[in-house]
Amino acid sequence: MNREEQKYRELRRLGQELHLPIPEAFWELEVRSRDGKVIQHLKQRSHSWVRNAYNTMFCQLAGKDANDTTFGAGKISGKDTGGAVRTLSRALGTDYNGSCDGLTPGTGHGYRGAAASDSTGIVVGSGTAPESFEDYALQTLIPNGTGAGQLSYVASEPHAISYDAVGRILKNSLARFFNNNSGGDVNVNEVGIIFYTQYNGYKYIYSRDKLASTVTVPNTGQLKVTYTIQLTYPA
Amino acid sequence: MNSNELRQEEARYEELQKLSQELRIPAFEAFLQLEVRDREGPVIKQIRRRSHSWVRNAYNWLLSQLAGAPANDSTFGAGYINIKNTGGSVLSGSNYRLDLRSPSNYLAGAGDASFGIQVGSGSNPDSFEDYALQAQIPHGVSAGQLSHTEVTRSESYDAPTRVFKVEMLRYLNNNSGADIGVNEVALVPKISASVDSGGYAPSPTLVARDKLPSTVTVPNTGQLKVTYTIQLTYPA
Repeated sequence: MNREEQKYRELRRLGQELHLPIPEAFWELEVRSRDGKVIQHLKQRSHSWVRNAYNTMFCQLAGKDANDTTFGAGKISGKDTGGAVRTLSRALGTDYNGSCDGLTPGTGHGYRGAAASDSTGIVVGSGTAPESFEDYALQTLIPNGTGAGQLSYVASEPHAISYDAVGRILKNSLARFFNNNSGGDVNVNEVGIIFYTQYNGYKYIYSRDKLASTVTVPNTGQLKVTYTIQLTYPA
Repeated sequence: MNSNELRQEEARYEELQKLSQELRIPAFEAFLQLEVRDREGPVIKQIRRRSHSWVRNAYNWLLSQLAGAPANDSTFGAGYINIKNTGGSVLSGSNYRLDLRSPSNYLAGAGDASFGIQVGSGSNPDSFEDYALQAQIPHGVSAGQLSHTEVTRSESYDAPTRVFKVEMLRYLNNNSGADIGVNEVALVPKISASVDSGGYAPSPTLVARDKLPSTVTVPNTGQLKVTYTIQLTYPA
């Protein structure tokens, strides 16, 4: 176990001991060739809750409205994937302004993207810029399509919830498939998850991660990206 | 807990906060302050301590929000996402999410003791499964009652430390004719479990309950001031 992982586990232990919720997030990428063989597999922690995610959580737990017209340190607002600062006279949240859309089909809002939608849910990109707490979009989104440098975005899978009674860890996983029908290899260097608020149509990225290494999706191959958020409950 | 144990515990909180900031994982801290004044105004008792007790409702609320996870289980307990309101009803439904909606859902009005900041006389220890005070002190001027003023909120940001704070405050006046002992305090927002097309209206949901280290006595004609501070340290 490397030093960083030791720190994550220490943080989890302290959170459990002191009754402070510590959410953790993981990315898993799996590439299959046209004949179904797994040819690349990558699993890493998500290091990058961005300001939008912090602001949303703070709005909720602390009862704060998102009424600042600027976006940045000491301000509570949201910056959508188009770069516009959005304010609300209420709390930011996965809420009235957008359902979590649950286990049943339905990808019109929340964290699940519809088929061919590259603007909501799990998204992938080719950008190699380092992660920043101020990220509000991928650096270079790989668009949906079958042209060169494009991937076909499949509808997000339903939420999968599981519980590890021994570790008292509750997990929520979301997966999405991407098919490469572009005629050439496509390289993925960054991943993100975008929440879509149905009510007002705003889209916020909550985390953007630069991958530890390039993931290459071969022509006619398939990429599966799974995003897992987990919370360890106290004894 | 003696002073040495308190120092050790505080060191653990500080270590957690350091790791949280370094690893960019949000960790919410909460503090509780109680101040009692007698009828002439001097402060006769003051307690400031960490709130140790985000309960299951708070964890479920956070996970539902952050993961976009549905609160679709009707069983309240380990492995399930839903909330149990202060009346003991479990709120869940297909695709329901848990949501504060509006900051006003923390801000109970004068005379409304059903949510916001509540106090009680119960002396049970903190439990992760708490969903209501053990023995809430009701609003009123009769024996064993306190007059609840409105809950107010203020916010601040400290740039050097990147700490954003929200303070929620409530005064409770004792016009009951006798002293009243307070042993427990709770934070009770009104949380929704619903989808746009239906569900439960915002319902009082206890998210933190703290058993006080010792009884806080509010003298007749005295005043209790309760402040909950919730803070989040942002990364660099």
